[in-house]
Amino acid sequence: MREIAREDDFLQIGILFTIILIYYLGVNTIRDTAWHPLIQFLFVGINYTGTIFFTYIFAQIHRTGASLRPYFFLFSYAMIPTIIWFYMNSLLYVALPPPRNITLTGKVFSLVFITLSVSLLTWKILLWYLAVRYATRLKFYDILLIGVLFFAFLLPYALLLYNLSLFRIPFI
Amino acid sequence: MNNAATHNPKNWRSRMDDILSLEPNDLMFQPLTTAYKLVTRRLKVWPFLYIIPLSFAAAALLYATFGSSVVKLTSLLQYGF
Repeated sequence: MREIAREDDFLQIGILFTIILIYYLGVNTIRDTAWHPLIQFLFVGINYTGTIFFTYIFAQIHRTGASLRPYFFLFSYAMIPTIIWFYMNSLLYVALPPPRNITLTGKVFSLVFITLSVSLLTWKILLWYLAVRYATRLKFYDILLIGVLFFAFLLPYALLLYNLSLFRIPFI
Repeated sequence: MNNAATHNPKNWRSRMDDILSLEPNDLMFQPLTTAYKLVTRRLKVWPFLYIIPLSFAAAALLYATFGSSVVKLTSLLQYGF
């Protein structure tokens, strides 16, 4: 992440967002969605820029992390576990469609799936922590505070998106 | 760092710039700071070596606590994309 903070090749961010766009265009063929995939993709962009500006404003209050450029790179790379989880989930939806049964194979699959999901979530939290650390240059407790405040904003926002049938789990 | 890297002043300077670019974390309570550095030292090198077994342990603990409801949770997550 230290090297990523020094990047200036915006094509990398373009590639990551292209992968996300391909996902939303593809998932529309697997499952009916209430909204057009481009609108869902637009909200991914809103989530991304919202996360960046939330963190940037906090850093400005502490007078650290002056340049905005590292934020774009760090938070785009921090979306990689999210991208993997959504792709994995949509492939499993086709290969092993839910609901799962309370049989031995169902329980084994559940253990494996939850292990993978928790691993990706842990990786996501680590990348998010490193993104905030290298972008804002703040220390542990300040980053913890950002995390708590961010989660406090994220929860009602996620509920709103769920009620609007945009996302069941927000793509951040 | 190998010998070539340590004997090259440019690499050494760049490495020192990397190390000194951020103020080290201080959790204001020495045992906590020591624990933090111990955990992060492991996670910097090969994080999945620790993340995957810990995640499996968490999943097993969930199963031990909630039993077959874990299967319903999996179905819920599978619809979550």
